[in-house]
Amino acid sequence: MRKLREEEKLDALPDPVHAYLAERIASKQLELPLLPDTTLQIVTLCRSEDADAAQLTELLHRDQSLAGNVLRIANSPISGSHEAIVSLQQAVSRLGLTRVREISLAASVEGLIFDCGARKHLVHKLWSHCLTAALIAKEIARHRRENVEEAFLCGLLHDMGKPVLVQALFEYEKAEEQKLGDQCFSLAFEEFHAGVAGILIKEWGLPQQMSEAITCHHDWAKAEQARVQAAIMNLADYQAHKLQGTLKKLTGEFDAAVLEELNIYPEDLEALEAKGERILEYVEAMMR
Amino acid sequence: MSAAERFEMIVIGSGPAGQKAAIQAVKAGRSVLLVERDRGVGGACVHRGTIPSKTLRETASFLGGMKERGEGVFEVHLPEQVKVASLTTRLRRVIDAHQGFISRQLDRNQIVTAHGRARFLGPKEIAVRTIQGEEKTYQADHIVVATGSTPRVPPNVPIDHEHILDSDSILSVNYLPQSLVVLGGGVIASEYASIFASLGVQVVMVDKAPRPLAFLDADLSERFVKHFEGLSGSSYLGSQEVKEVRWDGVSAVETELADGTTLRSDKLLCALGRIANVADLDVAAAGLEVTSRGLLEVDDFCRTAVQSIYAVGDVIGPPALASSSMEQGRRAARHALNLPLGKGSEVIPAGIYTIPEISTIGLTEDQVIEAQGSAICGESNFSELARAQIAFCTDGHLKLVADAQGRRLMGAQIFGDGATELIHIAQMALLTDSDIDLFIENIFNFPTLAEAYRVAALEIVRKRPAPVSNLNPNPMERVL
Repeated sequence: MRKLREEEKLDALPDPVHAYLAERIASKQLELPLLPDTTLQIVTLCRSEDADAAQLTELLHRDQSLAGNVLRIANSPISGSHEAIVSLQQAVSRLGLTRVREISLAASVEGLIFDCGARKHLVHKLWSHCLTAALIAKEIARHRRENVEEAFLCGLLHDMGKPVLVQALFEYEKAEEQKLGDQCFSLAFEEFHAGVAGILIKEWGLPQQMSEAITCHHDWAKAEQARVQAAIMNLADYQAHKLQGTLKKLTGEFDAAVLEELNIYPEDLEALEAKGERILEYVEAMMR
Repeated sequence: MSAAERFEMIVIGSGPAGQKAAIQAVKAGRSVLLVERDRGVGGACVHRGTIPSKTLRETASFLGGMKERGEGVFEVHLPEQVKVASLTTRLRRVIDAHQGFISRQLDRNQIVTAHGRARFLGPKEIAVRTIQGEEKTYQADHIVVATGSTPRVPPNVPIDHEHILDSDSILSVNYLPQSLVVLGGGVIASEYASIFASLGVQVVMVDKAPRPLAFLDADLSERFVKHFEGLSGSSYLGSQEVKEVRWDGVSAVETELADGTTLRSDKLLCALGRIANVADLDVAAAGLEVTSRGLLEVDDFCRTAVQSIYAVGDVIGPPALASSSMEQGRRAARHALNLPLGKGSEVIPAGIYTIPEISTIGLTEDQVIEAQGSAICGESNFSELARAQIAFCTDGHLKLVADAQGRRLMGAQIFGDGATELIHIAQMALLTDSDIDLFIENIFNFPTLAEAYRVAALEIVRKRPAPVSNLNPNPMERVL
């Protein structure tokens, strides 16, 4: 088998790499990151009937980095607090269960993304993109008077296939004793990231509809049960790239039919885009 | 803007009223344009109103029924996620099926459809702006406005579709809250309150009226409250003014009442009425005005003050039922096209899809007393019916109201499973001016819930004033 040179210019994902990834995915041999225990518990707690602030505070106490993130956001201008937040209990009461769940998930996603070692630059800004897409998805759902909570989670997790693929390609490099070029990683993302993210979501025990929406976020018309959610994600992804000036990173062209699917008129889109600045402020506060 | 395309009739809105108007005009050989601002046809009825809420009700009723039918012999425990998944999956299937059916019907009848937001340019001309922002103009001799309604947002209820929901966003819940406050005491509020209560959610209904469904016979709404308050610790708080609603930022929606009480719940549903969708129509451009309640005023034929414009369905206000809206659409189209209207009927049943259902037709006991000085009523409890025992639906009641002589049927009210179907028996009797004896002298299937009619009719016969001679024997003697 001919070895690929790292700097080689590619039109498509080389066959051996393609075959390797396809086989790994089909035989369920991808190494899927685990959602940190605390985050999982927080997500579960926030969905449960008995969620209360005291339990949440207790969970946060167990994870120092998560607690730090929560305190940081609680003290940022975005929380609207006029007093210094010095305790987790105070932070939880200031931010609310939903916001703390968002922060916990975002922080976990950040952790997984930054585990990409030498290829960190390939997923650079992925966290802020996911967070932006999540907040936009939430606004689209709100405009449509649909489930706001699920839209946020979908947005946050829609590109999680990318760091998983980085790990898989690291293994390929190791096994084949060769270095792949950045383009090879990008082409692999293009082809596999949505499907892999869908697998991951299922593995994490999140709802099937969410998994389908994420799997089909670039090809929303293929979604059967979660067509609208997939379309919301498609538009949110595009709008997030547009807002952050990274449109060239988007896989494929923008599909105008998505606006028709979501029944979003030009004036609705304008109203949605007008919220961009506020969304970026929030993202910035979480990233700081 | 290009030259206006001409049709013989334009219908704005593809809900039940609009569909029937369009189909009626096409059947009469006229060219029709049907404009719909949403992606799919069917209007709020299919996507956010009648069909979804009734589907949720059916699923909730089925899940509740499974538990009840266990009777200690077997236990049914459904995890929360299964309940919610059943609700939403079924909902999607029913909506798709119904929308598909309507689309096929419109295609079959060769009705031209346009997807966009319509506004009037004149009494016989409209402009339609598409999702892509393109605008096209259309003209017609007759324009039917059937744009429906959307949930009202009171200024003191900050609906965010996350914690504080309206009757649209409540449809996409992906988990069951532990507690829910429902603002309102009307049909929509009562339906959702009973659906969620039967799924195990602790529901508190809050309304200005001392009792919910105030337009019903007091007996019926009392039965509803009794049943509702027996579920999951739910309750009805009547004669209450809501001062403020807010999300506490942590874990609860707080509802502050004027009497100083503060209710805390996971979610809140605001169901305080609906407003007509007229804002985007620019009706003034057609020479029309909306009433102080934001509605379009029409005559008996659903014609507005402008000769060429008709309005049907929720935009003209009560009764705002899908069933009556369909008839309004049909009649408006026939009147516009100078076709015979047929014998219209004032006898329209009302169906309330609470758990269990409520349905009424004709006059209540009070209305008959007011009109005739007295009335004779007959009642039947479902617990006395074999079918109700078999089918686990003994919490039901049927009441027939007859005239002062106990001869002519004047109205019927039913509380219980199957009420919205059972009511049609009374409807047929009312439409044919039937005597109460009809229910006694004819044979019903056994065992059925319809047997309740016979039981109630027998009570009326028993209460009849004594006959003045022996020439008219009491029919009860023949059956007993």
